[in-house]
Amino acid sequence: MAKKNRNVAIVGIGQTEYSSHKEYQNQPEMINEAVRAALNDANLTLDDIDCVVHGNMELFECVHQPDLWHVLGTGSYGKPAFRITTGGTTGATVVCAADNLVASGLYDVVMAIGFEKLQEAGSTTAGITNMADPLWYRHLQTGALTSAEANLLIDEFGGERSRRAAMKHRIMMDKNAALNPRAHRRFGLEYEQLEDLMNASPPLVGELRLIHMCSQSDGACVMIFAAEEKAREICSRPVWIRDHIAVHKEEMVANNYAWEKPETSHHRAARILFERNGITDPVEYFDVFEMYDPSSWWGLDWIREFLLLDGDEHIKMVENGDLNIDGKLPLNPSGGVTSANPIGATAMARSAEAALQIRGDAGPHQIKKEVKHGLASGFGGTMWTVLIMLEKDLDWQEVG
Amino acid sequence: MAIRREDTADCFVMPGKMVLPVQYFAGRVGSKFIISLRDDKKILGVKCPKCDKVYAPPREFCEKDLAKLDENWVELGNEGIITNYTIVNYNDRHLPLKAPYILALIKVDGADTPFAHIVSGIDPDQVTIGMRVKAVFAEKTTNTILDIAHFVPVID
Amino acid sequence: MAEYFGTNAEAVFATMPERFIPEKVQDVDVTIGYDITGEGGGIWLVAIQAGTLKAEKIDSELPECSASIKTDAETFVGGSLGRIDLNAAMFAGKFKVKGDISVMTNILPKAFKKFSLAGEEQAEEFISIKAMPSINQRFATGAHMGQWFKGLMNKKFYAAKCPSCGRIQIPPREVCAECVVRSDDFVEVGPNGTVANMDIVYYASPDPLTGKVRSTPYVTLYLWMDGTTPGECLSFDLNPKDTNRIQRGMRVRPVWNEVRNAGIDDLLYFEIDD
Repeated sequence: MAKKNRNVAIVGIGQTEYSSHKEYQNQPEMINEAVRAALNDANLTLDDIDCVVHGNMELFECVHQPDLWHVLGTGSYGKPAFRITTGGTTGATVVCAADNLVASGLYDVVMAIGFEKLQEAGSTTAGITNMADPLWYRHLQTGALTSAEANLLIDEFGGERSRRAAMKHRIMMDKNAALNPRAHRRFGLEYEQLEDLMNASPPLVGELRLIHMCSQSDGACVMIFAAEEKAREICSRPVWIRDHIAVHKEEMVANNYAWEKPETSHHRAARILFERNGITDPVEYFDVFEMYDPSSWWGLDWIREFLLLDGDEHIKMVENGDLNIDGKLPLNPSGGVTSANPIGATAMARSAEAALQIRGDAGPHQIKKEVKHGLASGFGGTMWTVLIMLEKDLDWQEVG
Repeated sequence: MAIRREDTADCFVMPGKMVLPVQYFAGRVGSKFIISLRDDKKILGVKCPKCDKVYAPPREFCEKDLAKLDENWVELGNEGIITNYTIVNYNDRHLPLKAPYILALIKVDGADTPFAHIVSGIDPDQVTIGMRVKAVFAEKTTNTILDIAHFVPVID
Repeated sequence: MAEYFGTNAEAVFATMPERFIPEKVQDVDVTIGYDITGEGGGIWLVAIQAGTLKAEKIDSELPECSASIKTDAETFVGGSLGRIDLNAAMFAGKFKVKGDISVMTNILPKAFKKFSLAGEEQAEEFISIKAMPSINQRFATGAHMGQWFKGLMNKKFYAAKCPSCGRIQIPPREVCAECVVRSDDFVEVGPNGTVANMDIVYYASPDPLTGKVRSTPYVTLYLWMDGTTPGECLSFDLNPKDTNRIQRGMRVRPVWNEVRNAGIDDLLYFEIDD
């Protein structure tokens, strides 16, 4: 595993509710709500925070350097503070940065903030399109909307089976979201509606329909990280960060849809992370997986990528209910990204939700059986991946 | 054919543009401040119950101690003093006035924090720190801080 | 009559005349049918014609309307009061609109003041501002992309070949990041290619270069250009005339602009190579 000077724990978590509109709050006020919730959860005050890491995705709100204005709400007045912006992965990158800052010994207690107010963004798709290479792809891209992955799944497994599996994934997420009071979209979908939705939901791009795609949400997520000694002193149920990995692939986005599909950043991240931690059977090992699933088609395909599965194992897991909240490996008990996507907070909420499951504090969407080992992913940019391993106990074996 | 980075004969500059629609929300606290300027021609602030600081424009929380402020509204004066200023000497399409004009930090009576606004009715070379000014409210309101049109010097 | 949220479906229709804003719908001529199921439901017909309103409960089935709505009484009343998110209800199949959906999204919100409970306070006013920032930019191509654009001007596609692994990057990049070596060798590829994957885009999003909404549907192609390695691909638009015929695996050819100035506009689109 990656070398660490000292162990790092998650000692506090705060989230706002995620919703389509928060016109009663401005940006720092919305962030402040989550900051207070996290401090409260950790039983700490601002005096205990040594450093603040702040992040969201540029361009949506067209506010540059919002970390400066946001001092009004972040609590970073008079403290060292960093801003991170890595597109969709931002929230997960902020977690990695906080982990690194504590593990290095620079700071004992670090507060990490991810937020987005997509009600303020007139068009998320136009914003994402603007991330693309201005010389070539900005002219051609349609945000994060694509059917290319769905086309490949249909090649491999046939239209009927693939479409049913993607829609079943979507309904499974909605059923989990129905249990999560913080989830933005809770439609109350039922499996009996599967065929109806497959035909009735308006198409966005090719096989990608409106119902498959993530929401545009407002919300903030805040996590507090502490060094082992401090964590044991202030927290009765710390959740340990075992390891994290970030993989940026150099390709243009389009290369992922080439004639010969390259190894994805997700697969590469999982392969390296699991190997260096001695995980040979991730489905067996992990008790919860919070995945950044921007659409149900991607979500379906990425089960195979992240869990290093072969053939149709991932589709079978969806068909058999193995990924349900009471299944073998619960996937996104929070409802995932199709149920709430405040982009700069989204990737952090994956780690936050996995940690809450490990603590047993998730609330109505708590997994019934014990959760000891958690996996959380982030996704963004031209197919970038962050993958984070969380543990209930500090008892893992060092490998290599 | 080989191209090195030193081969600059065929380098081009491509024009680009970025156009994105956005909408900002002042929030409940900010809305009350703007509505008061617009409808009552009064400047409101909030007072921190912990550190007694009076913030104008108002904010929901004290950034230093996180105390909740939005239940401690105070009405401030429409006059104040210039705590600092700059002269804007260039024209640009995003600026509210034609150059030259005075952009000053103004601390209104009763507030502990200054905010930026335009000072008119005086030559730019006449402005001084400590000068007393008063708010002139806009006749045509826009639901922004420009519902105060500008400040003018108080003539004794 | 069955009550929901302290009122009923009948009241929503009964208050329509007093909530109606005739001056906003002078040039409107629509009929809206409501098939409201469950307790307290019924069939209502609303006609807005040149600033006049007629709203009535009818005993027969709904005639052909500009837009017709089918929902249950609770969703209808909750939606009218703003207590139920009708978007969510629509996703969940509890609120169905047939016909012209813009009647719902554009005309009705204009035609009526919001329905509210008697004595309920007016909605709180929240201040917001809308803006459309527009920033002019300039981007330098550098030598590698410069070569690419020069090629387009001469109706040629130049790609960069990695001296280590041999992969051919298109558009060209200065380094092969897999091998971490410079890719200074250029080869001419194409001009035709094979459709490796594609997106038929129905969603109309603003073009970030202009702020104007793109017209749909349009097709984005992911192409395996002749002479390149199959793990690389070039993305470009399809000639709109081929939208209904295009299939993955098909062969396509470029269509060039008459006037070419070393820019992306030099290439108009690709089209099926029959």
